[in-house]
Amino acid sequence: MFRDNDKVSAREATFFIIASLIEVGTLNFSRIATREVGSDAWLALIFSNLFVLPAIFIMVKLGQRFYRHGFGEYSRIIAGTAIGWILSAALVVYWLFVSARVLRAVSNVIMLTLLDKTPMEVIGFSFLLVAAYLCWYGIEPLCRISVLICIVVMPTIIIMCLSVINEFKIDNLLPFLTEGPLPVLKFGFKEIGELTEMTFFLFLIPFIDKSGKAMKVALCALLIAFLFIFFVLVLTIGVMGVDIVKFQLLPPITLLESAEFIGIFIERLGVVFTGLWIIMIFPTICGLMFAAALVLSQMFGFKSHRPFIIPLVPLIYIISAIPKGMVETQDFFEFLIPYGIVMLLFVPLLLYIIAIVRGVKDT
Amino acid sequence: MMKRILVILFVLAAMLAGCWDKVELDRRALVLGAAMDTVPQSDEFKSKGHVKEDGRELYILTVETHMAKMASVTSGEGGGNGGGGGNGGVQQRAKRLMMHTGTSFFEALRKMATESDKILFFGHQQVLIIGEELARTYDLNKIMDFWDRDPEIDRSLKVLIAKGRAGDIFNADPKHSQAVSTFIRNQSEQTGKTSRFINLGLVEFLSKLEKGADLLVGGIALLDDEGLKISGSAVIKGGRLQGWLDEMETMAAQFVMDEVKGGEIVAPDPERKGNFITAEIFSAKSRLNAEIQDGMPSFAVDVKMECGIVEISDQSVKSVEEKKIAVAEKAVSAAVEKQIKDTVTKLQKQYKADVLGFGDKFEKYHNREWKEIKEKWDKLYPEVPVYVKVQTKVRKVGRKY
Repeated sequence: MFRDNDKVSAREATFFIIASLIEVGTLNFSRIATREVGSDAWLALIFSNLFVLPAIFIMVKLGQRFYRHGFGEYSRIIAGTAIGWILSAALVVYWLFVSARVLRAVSNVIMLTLLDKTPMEVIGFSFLLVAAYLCWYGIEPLCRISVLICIVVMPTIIIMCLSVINEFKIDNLLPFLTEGPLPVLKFGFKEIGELTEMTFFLFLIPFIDKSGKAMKVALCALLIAFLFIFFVLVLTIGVMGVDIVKFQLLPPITLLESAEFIGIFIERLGVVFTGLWIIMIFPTICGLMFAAALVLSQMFGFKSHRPFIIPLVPLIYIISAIPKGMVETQDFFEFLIPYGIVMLLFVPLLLYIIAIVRGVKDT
Repeated sequence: MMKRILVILFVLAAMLAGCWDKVELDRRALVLGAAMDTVPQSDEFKSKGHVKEDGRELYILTVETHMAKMASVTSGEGGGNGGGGGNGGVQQRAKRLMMHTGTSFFEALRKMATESDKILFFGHQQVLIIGEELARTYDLNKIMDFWDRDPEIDRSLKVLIAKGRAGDIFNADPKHSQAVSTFIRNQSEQTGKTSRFINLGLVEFLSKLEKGADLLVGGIALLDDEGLKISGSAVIKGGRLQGWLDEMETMAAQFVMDEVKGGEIVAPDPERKGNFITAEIFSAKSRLNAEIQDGMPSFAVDVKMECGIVEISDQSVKSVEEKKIAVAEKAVSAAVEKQIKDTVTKLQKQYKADVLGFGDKFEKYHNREWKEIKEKWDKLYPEVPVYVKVQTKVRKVGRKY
């Protein structure tokens, strides 16, 4: 039914980006941010979302200029075959590593909170196979499942979070800017690298049925995802206080586990929360896999992305299994942040400038 | 052909599916409560080989567990299951106490496993009780790590400090409840009615410890008739137990911390000596403000309270007029004010423990000045002026007008 239709509406694309932006990094963010900038974490989040705006602007402009081609094709049109090929390869490698990071992080979360004796191979492969199945049928089912996930899971998570709101203390968000604004700005810029999924605009625009709406899609998605992440972050810090958030592996899960649900007969809602969050991670991994397969197919001149999906499954798994322990995982994937800033900001900027100078565009 | 493969696949999926982490419920022992203690220097423990020769620090961990199905065993032999605590068996309770020593709490747990056929599960733990001696001798920061690190532990559990040995608390006989832990948990939910004990969850407890702040932890005591009393609070300073606050002092402290949700106040009637006005608190809001006075910190506690008159201890008072209400409001305010002042003074002068979060408040609202006085805060704290102001509004007078 949806096979090879490959056209999505602007709304579906928006939901796809929202669902991709909210991933396991969001769970870690409050810990990383409070370690770096203390109680100003919320401000750092606002800054990083502001800093990413120019990158989005350039990516969308670039995509709209070449509204019939994906990144793998237009990078070659703009910069010549060799450089275009290298840039595409860099992008594919980036997406593969990000998906490996997400996969590793999600298996860690599952092993830590739900299934502590299940081996990582089983969790990882079952996750990837489901993702591969979804990718097989292209972008349209992916976007539609994102809509479904967003409208079911996000309100549920918010309602669960609301149950702890009476313990929210505004004092926990103070003091304000003790070290001056510089560390916050610096950290905010660094965290652009965490908004990885915005790179989807490098391939997504040809699939949107009205590609003129792409900017609206990007801004809407960023805003909604930002509000959601902001809400979870502020609630986590506001209820638990900076000092404990710093030392929790997954602060929002601790938050939900500490909640007392008076009048509800189910205990341990933290587990349900974890489960819901894991569902939110599927669109991210699927999106990354699809993007990598698609750009690969464009690089090698294939008509379909399908031949590349199955080989990607073991590849992603192997990358995700390289770091040995949980602590090592953090360090191993650290390089993705500068890499992400380059792919998100500098590469599109460079291509856009060259495209304008050379005057190439789709007609 | 395709169909056949699909059918085979589905059958296989149904048959091969399983779960690595599966543990049947009847193989599980649900830990309801845990108690941490130091090892006493008695011969009984030495003879059992619990005290190591090299004299390392040792703790005792006592857990109260609940087992599914145990209650429904009909034969008489169930009596033998009453373990360590010696409280099981008589009525075939589904609870059992287990106790072991260890250099770490996890070690103690694993030693328990050598004596039990059940797998302990911490996901439904209700309470964690810390023994008085343990809290006095060790820095709580150093011993609480297991409860923060273990992923299985339910983080909504309540933390209490026992007067005496914590393990003994589980020997109590809660008359209306199956297990001591559930009794404690259910009772602590009554905090709204009395405000006499500190209802402290694990995360809040750890958060304050982690910060290095002083704090109040609810107290629990075993009464002579095997009953339990949860009231008062323990003053923790620098991770160690410093002393106790009684019920009314705990209530006063909670006024400052804005934790009071209900309770009653018995105020002496200023017009008629020897008589009392009793008021029930409907709601209380308090603000703690940190200010700078001549370069030094000072604090103002501002309590706004709404209450109703529930009892006037003089039959001759037939009606409660407007004037009388104003008097009552003033009397109640004065009583609370005195309570708060006395408690704050006690905390400042006697315990020197900043459990009410004065320093924290100052850090948050006057950060620049805090950096200057941070080092000498310990010396400054007993001397900082604290101003208390209580405003009471009487909203109801009951059915007697």
